[in-house]
Amino acid sequence: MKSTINDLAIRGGAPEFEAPVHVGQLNLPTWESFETGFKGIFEREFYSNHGPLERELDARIADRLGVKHAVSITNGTIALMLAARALNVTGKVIVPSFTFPATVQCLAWAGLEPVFCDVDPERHVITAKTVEAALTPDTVAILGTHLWGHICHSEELQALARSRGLRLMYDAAHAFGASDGNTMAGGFGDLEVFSFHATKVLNATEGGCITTNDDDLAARVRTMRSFHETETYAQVPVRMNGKMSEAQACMALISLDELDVNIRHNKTLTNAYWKRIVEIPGLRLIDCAKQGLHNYQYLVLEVTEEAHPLNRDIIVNILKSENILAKTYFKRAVHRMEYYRDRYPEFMDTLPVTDWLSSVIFQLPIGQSLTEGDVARICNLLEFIMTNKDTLDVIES
Amino acid sequence: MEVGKGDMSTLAIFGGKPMFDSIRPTGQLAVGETDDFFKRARQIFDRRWMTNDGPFVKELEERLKVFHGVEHCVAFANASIAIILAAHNASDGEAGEIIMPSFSYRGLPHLVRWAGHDPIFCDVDPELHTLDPRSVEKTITERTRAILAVHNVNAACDVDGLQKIADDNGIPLLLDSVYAMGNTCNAARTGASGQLEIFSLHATKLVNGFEGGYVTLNDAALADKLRMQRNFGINETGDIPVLALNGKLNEIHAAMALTCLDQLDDIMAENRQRFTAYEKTFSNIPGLSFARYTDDVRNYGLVLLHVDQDWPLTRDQTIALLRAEKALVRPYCDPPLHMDPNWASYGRADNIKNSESLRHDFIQMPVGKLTSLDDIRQMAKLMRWISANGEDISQRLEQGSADQ
Repeated sequence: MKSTINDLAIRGGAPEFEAPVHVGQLNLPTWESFETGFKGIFEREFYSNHGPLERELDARIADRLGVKHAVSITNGTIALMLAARALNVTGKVIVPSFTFPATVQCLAWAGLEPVFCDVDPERHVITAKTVEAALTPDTVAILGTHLWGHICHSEELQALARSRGLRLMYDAAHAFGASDGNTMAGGFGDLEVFSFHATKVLNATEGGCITTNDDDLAARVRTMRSFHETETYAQVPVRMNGKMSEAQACMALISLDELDVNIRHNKTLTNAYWKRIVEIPGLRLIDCAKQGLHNYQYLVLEVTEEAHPLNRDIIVNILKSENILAKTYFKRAVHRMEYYRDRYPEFMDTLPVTDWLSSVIFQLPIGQSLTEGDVARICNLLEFIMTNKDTLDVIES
Repeated sequence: MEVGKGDMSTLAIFGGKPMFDSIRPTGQLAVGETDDFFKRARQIFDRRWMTNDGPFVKELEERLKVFHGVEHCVAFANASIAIILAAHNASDGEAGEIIMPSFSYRGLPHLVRWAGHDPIFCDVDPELHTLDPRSVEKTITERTRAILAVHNVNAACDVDGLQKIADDNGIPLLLDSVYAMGNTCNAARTGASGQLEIFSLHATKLVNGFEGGYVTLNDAALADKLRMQRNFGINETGDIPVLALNGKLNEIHAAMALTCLDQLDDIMAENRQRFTAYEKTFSNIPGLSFARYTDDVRNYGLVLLHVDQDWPLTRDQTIALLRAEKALVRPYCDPPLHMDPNWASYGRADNIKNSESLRHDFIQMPVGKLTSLDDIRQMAKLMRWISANGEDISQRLEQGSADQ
């Protein structure tokens, strides 16, 4: 507990945490379940190539999400590439810039071009209005991101896509287990793409999957994810190795067993953060849970005007020096990345909400390895920083 | 099954009991000591570090660097992803053509298409199956962005001849070395030729990492770029200057690969024993021989059985017959890529006759950990019996297909 500003690590004090605490779930299965699962793999001597665990995972995910098809893939980005290519369109795709870069990167690999659109300031997702503002005559699809697990405004987007004859897909990397009303993420649009990266609530170390209710699209992505003749279900333009190994599928299946426990823990931590942070001027928690079910895998905050003279970057730097490895997703929005600003300079100053969010949003640690005690310590520190904000600013400058 | 009784009904294809109780695959499926794998997995749990350039990925890259005698090794989630990036980087994304052998792995043209290029197909050497520099030379155009050559199952490719063409035209030579781990090229271990070489850590390859791949090279700037590209292209300032993706190898796959790498000498020695057993037990069966393996081959990862006119059955009948016995043999590089309807509209050399004439010649035989020396002896015995009773079997097979 810090009592004077000289106790802060930036002033030479001991860091609040001895070992770094991370943003990102890093949820591990129990060692026993891991050992049992992997012994099974070694006994079967079946390591990849659409093995029994991959098939079981596909069935269980489809069941859990209430969607007709789930197709597991090497990782979420490869899944996005396959999904975008499976849409079988050429032209431009409307996509948010306030998203993880992979959302946009998949388009170039699928021979498509991005048109960046802005997002809603409350939920940080695209809306029919922001998409409409970006429409061009050669737009062929919309790719939305359910950022932080907030489901995009799916009804209005679906209506817009239908009226304009556009394909609609979602990057649901953050949204496993989240819903909008009674519909789970996985069943919106033409198809959706999940990530099972270690930092996500469902952890396959690396991994991803494509979900869809469209039989034809499912057949296409199932064909595209490997070169196997016995896994050929549709005519497709290109294939690649996008297979999930039995090791990844084993991890994902165990993680699926433990999903509800991990989500409950995230929720407990979120509530603990919530109680404290509403009392801290200058910080505002982004509410995740208004729409339906949620996975609480990101704890997202906005730094408001009241934090002045501090700002988001100063706060995050102080936290990092205390071994609280807060993240600033997405400090540089995708349209401002060199690769994109070189090719698409026309978007530079057209996304005011995106640019504003890029400067005020940050994420705090949450996940299996964090305790409520840790949350209390992080909140104490935030409170201390805010109480002493005027003195701290002097130090910074 | 018992063979040599002169009773065809003992053949599984005619309803007899299969020779093997469980399948004999054409991939390696080797594993190291599983205890060692679990020890490494325990470390992953203790560190809570499951991916993103983890300690096992780094260790694997270090060891492979030393193994191949190169300056840089970059690990990937699989070899396909590495080939896509290598093809993209050949021209920094500017669409063009990439020359490849027609007698090759069916995935290659797909990967080149992911990078936005058109595949152009060339012929191979009739004995070694490697990309023929003379054929390549004739297909070079202004749009050629790279030569993608393959170190084959049975021979290293003509790196010097191909490199000269690449240099003369200012384009990179990329090497698909998926078959060539542990083999040599110009008297040194493979890995150091061309702009880069791409290897696989897929379960069916020499070192089993479940899935995985890696690139070896001596170009530091390109190695840095590939590292950046496998992690979304993010550089040290947080900016993204290049087109990229997620190509990361995870720690569990890396731990598996390291555990298998510990046993590499044994794996290669056992492969060699199996290959020797094949040569010995199959000797003097009329119409059967093995592809010519050069001295560059050390891993004997695949066994290519050659079928000629003196063999009483067609290659495909033989495959069907063996598969019924649970020996999961398969054709090799058939059809050649330029004859695959998928690629009908793409460019090719005027003359690809070697690839065409090789297409019906080979059967990939069972190999790897699940195939014992005794299995090989049994298969030889079966083949000898087929040779002696070829006419009857052939007749009955043709009868069967006519009845359908």
